[in-house]
Parts: sequence; C-alpha cells; structure tokens
Amino acid sequence: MTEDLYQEVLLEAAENPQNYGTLTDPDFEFQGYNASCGDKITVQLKLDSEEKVTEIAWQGDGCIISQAAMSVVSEAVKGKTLSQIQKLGLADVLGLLHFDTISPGRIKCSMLGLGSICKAIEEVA
Amino acid sequence: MSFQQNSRDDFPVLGTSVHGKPLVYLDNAATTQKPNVVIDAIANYYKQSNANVHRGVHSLSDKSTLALEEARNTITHFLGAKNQELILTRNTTEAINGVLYGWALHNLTKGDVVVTSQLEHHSNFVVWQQVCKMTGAELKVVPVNANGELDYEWLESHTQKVKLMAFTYVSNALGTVLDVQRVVSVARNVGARVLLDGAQAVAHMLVDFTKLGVDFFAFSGHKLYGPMGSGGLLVRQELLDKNEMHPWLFGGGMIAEVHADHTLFHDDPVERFTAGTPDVASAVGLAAACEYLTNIGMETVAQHEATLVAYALEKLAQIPSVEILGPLTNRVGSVSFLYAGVHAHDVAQVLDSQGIAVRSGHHCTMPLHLAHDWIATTRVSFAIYNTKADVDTLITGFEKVSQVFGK
Ligand SMILES: Cc1ncc(COP(=O)(O)O)c(C=O)c1O
Repeated sequence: MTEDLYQEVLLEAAENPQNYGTLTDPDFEFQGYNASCGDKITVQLKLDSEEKVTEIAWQGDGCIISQAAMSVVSEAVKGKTLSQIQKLGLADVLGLLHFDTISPGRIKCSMLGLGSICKAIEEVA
Repeated sequence: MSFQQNSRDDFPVLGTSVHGKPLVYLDNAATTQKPNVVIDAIANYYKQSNANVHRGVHSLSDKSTLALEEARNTITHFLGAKNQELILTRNTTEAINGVLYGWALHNLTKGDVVVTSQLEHHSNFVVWQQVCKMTGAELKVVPVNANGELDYEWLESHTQKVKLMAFTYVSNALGTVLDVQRVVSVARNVGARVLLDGAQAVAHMLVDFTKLGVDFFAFSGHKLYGPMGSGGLLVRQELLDKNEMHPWLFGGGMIAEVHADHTLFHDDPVERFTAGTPDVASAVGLAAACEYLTNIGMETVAQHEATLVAYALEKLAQIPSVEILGPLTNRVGSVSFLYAGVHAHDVAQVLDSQGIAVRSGHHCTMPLHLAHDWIATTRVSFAIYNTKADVDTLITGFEKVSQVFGK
C-alpha cells in the first residue's frame, strides 16, 4: 500500500505542484480546511462567460496526498464548467492520482482540494 | 522488568499484525489496548449478572446492582476519591461538559472569568468558550512558553474575577505535567474552582484526588486500559454537600419524588447524578482495569514509562530530521515531534506500513499548534506493554521515511 501510495507520480506531483501560486484578478477565491490535521488550502478561479474555468491557482501546506491531489485536480478542472466540476468525486481524484484505492484515514486528504472547490461553487451558485 | 513480558501477553491485540508486520502500538494517548481481564470482566458480567440496576426485587437485579457498586468502589479507590464523588460518564469530554451544565451555568455570570491554557485538548477548551458565550463570562488563556510549560506568573497576575481554572494535568500533545499545587494555591487565594483534565494522567501516574485538592477531575476509562465508553467526573464532596453542583441529566433513577408539577431529586448524589440506566458492563470493565494496574503498581508503571520516554527522547534526538517538541524533563506519556520536510500524515503512513501505529495531526490541540505555527505533528505515546524494542523499531522505521521522501 505505502509503496503504491508514495509512487513516483505522487512524489513528483507534490514536488512540482501544478498551478501553485496566486491570480491577480480571480473571480472567486476560497479556503479549504482539513479539521483533522489543520491543513489549509486557498484556491482562486477565473471563469469565462460560460462559467468555464479558464485559470486556477492554489496555495497551501499539507501532506503529500493533499498537495498532489490538489495539483492534479487543478489541472483537471481547467476548461470544465462549474456543474461539470460538481459532478467529480473521490473516484475521479483517485483516478487522476493513479490509485486503485485509499485507506479511509486518507480520504479527507485526497478530497481537500476538490471538496473545497465544490463547497465554494455551492456557495456562489 | 518482570511484569513486562506478562503484560504484553495480557493484551490480545498486541499479538496481531499490520501489513504483515507485528503491531507496534504507540498511540496510547488516543486509547490504550485492553487486557484480557477487562475483556473477560465485561463478558462475564453479561453472561452472569446482566439485569437493570435498582429496578427490581429480583436476585439478578441485586447482583447487577452489587456489581456496579463494587465497580464504583474499585474505581474511586484507585483514584483516591470517595465513592459518592464519582459521576460515571462516557469519557473525559462528557465529564467536562458535565461541569459546564452542572456547575458553570449555575455559578457563572457576566463579568466572571474562566481561565484555561494554550495547552488544552479541545475538550477542555471549546467547552469554556461555549460557556462564556452562554453566560457572558470571559475566557482567559494562559500562554505556554517555548518549553511547552504554562506561564504560571501570567496566571498569578490574572486572577481578578476568576471563578474557574480548567487545566490539563498532563498534556496529550507535549507530555507537560501541570504544577497542580501551584494552581490550586492560586485558585484558593481567589476562591476559584479548579478542574483538572486527567485524561492523560490516570494511566501513567498515581492519582490521589483528595490529596490533589482540586474540585473537579475528568478522566477517560478507555485511556486507562478500560472499555470504550467509560470514564468519569470526580466532584469534591464539599461541592456536592453544598449543592453547588447540580444534576444536568434528568429522568429516571435520579429522582426522589415526581409530581405533576414538580420533582424532587434524589438525596444521594450517586443516584442524583445517575440518570437513566447506567452502563454497568463498562463500569465493571473499568474496575477490572483499575485492579489490573493496582496489581502491577502505579509506581512501577510510572517508572517503566519514564524509562521509555527518556529512551525515546534520546534516540529521537539522534535523528537529524527530527525536532522534538515540548519539555525535555518532567514529562509523561507522549512525545511529539516534527520531521523536517515531511508532513506528519506522511510520516505516520510510512511508519504504519511497517506495523508501527503513531498519531499524526494536531491531536485536538489546535490552539497550541496555531501558537507555534505547527501545521501537524507526529506523536508517539507509551503504555505499560511498550518496550525499548518498540522504540528501536520506531527509530529503524524512520529509515524508510527518509528513503521514500529523500529527506
Ligand atoms: C488531555 C485530554 N483531554 C481530553 C481528551 C478527550 O478524551 P475523550 O475523547 O475520551 O473524551 C483527551 C483525549 O485525547 C485528552 O488527551
């Protein structure tokens, strides 16, 4: 399990996170929070007129799983509409990370990024 | 130490394996494992004595009532308290909430002050934030110095209008031990009540409630080798006698007379604070745990664990990536640390893959973590069945952490 969990892909994703940083002029911004460990993530989005994500940036500290998941999710949501993003779930995140499964204790870590994006969409919708 | 090998064999779960490796259980501050005597006591209660208490004239009910009474005697004797001073609860959290509903709401008003500290578990923190919201009292938080110790001078200079001081006896994050005497003397000078959160103390040191001189003492049975769902609140006799402490759960069992328009509560505090059917089996299990520890001797337990903590501190200090948190002396039970460049969850996961169970996160002490800018920490915590070999396995376990993350 650990050997799979900390495979190259994951370490690479966490080491060189995609879309890490901030946007100068985001359409909306929100913070995600993992209450079990205190990990925090800030995500910013820019949308086009059809509510498709054109740009995304995020920042935060966290474990490798939450960082890598946020990295791959940030790539995956580009070009998607808000309602398409809301349909994504744990299975999609695991797929992006090339995981078959994850231990129950780490589900929160892997869902921190996507979960916060979805919550923020709910709030603005 | 002679009790050691026996004590390992007493705990069936320690014979299991995790990911094909023998379990090395170092998350005892979260909950301890249960010895056979506890598991058997619970099973035997259900096999031989199960009936509701006080509710019947039949023999089985008497047997169950007696089992509860004996269990209460054993538990209170173990903690140096009187039988009637014990209110059984599900855990520490429920016990502390009992002080909120049974004492604070009746005794605090706007302008009063409750003092707690940065070191507290959320159970002994959020409750006081809430009570201040409810009553208009003010919450003051004693800062903790770089060593993880309370700033007692701060406490001594912030005593105005203080009605309650609520502190943890032993910190679950840093192992810091409270200077109870000093706190009690400050409190007595200003007429404040003292609550000790004893969750991390009871399994590691001899506790004598009467000698401590505090007003409330909360503890969890499940951290004391007893069953989940067991714990208690000790309330000093004087508060019960003066009716300063009120029942906060109402219903069957706790009453003397019920009329259509009013109810008289039971005179006997034990009855008055036992609303509804008590969890007799858990009480019996917890009593078995207390007996088990008494047989080993709490001094022996304390000595053994002090050796382990000192050994762990020594070995951890030799790993360059590890930064030990908290005091280096006068600490009990838990050792938390940061691993440079690797998040605590990732450290814990790699250790888990080797059968080593440790805790990662903020251990329900967010104010402490925020004050120090720690996102998450890793914690190892010890019990009677742990050995130096467990510490050695842990230390070797870090080699893989270093391999996987290159740090
Ligand atoms: C110091 C301290 N207080 C309170 C608690 C809460 O205990 P429980 O979850 O059994 O209510 C804990 C448990 O981790 C603790 O360590």
